[in-house]
Amino acid sequence: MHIPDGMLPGEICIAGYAGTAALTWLCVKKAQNTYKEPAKLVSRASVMAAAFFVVSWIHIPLPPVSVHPILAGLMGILLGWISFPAILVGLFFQAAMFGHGGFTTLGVNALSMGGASLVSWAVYRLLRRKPGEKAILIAGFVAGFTGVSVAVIFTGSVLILTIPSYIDTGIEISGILAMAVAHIPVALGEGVFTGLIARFLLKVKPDMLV
Amino acid sequence: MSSEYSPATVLENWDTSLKIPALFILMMSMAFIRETTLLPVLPVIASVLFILSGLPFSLLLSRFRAPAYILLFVSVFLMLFSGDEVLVRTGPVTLKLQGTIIALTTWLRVLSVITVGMVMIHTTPLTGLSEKLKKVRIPRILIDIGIMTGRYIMVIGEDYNQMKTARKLRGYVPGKSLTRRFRVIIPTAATLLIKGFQQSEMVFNAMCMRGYGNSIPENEILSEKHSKIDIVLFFAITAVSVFLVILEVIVETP
Repeated sequence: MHIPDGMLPGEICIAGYAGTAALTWLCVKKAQNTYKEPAKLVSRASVMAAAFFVVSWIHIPLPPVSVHPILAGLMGILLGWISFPAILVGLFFQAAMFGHGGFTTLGVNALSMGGASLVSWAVYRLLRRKPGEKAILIAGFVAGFTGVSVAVIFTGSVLILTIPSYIDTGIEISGILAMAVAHIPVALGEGVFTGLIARFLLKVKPDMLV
Repeated sequence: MSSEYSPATVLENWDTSLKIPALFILMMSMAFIRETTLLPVLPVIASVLFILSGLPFSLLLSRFRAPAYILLFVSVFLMLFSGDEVLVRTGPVTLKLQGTIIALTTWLRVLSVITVGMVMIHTTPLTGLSEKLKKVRIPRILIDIGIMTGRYIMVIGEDYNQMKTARKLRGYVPGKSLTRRFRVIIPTAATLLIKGFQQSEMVFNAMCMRGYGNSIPENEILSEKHSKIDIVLFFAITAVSVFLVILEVIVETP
């Protein structure tokens, strides 16, 4: 899911950084309006960034590759706007500590996973309008599923469409679809996980849900 | 980040606020290179930096493990589908010449950029890193989140182990059934998050009360002097990066 260093052309890396800088600025501004105390904003984002980093140690074998949870959906529903900068920091740690992703591709990876968390949050808010446990379970599931799906489609598209090659469009689209299909079990698993966590938090500490 | 070697190498002594931008520009310029005639230069530059860093080879190998999967996926895809000219045909599998060349060049570039990235991160001391990052204009909020995240990676790990032990002592084990596993994992994960949120606010407030964020005034940071070697290294690496991009443009232009 993480695009490593050197894989993408320089122009795409710069564009990724530009997009990430703009989105980070926007998200921080929006989050500062939500959280009046900076301590709350920083501490929440840090805990989730650490969780985002830690889950990448969990590898689920899915032959011929292995996958790991992303938590984009959960980050979205717990952090809202600040999920994007939190994912950016989490990705930096992953790149620095064990070479997951990269430094030149940090912007593109942040757009993929951070963008996915924002989309998941939007979907969650849309579905959460109805009160009750069942509604939050469904909203959480859809958010978790959306998080993985958006990230996979974005990463697959960037990889296949931007690497210089002589491939016809049909095969390129098939490649992206194949990548998306391979991640369906992960998306379903993360959907169930996010939904159940959201339901648990609704019962125990509802103020944690944004 | 930061391992202590004795004596410290040139790269370890190089000021972080100049090293990070210079090596980052080099990595970016390497990402621009597509011309096959220029590509062999990249591993040479990366190797020189790696030797200068004095880092162990095993560390370099460990860094290649994570990107290997995605690199293999892309390589196979390119070798099978990119181009028309056939390189090898064995049964139903046909390897394409253009795809194989692109895959090989991608490998060269990826390995070179990863090596430079590894050198950048493993020769950078953690001490005073936040101040240095401020100096290279990284937003304060991202640095704060970064510092707290670094601390929380350890805390979450410790909390998880404690909870796992407590869970086992109460006879609450995940078992083999998926439903049972979810029943154990969900409350554990959610409790870990709740605990983390509550603790982190207290920790951040405590850090601020001890003067975190007010340590060095900005004008003092900016007035810090660099040594001659720091500046020479910065300009040398930046010049190599600019030269690489210029060469790429010249070679690429028909």
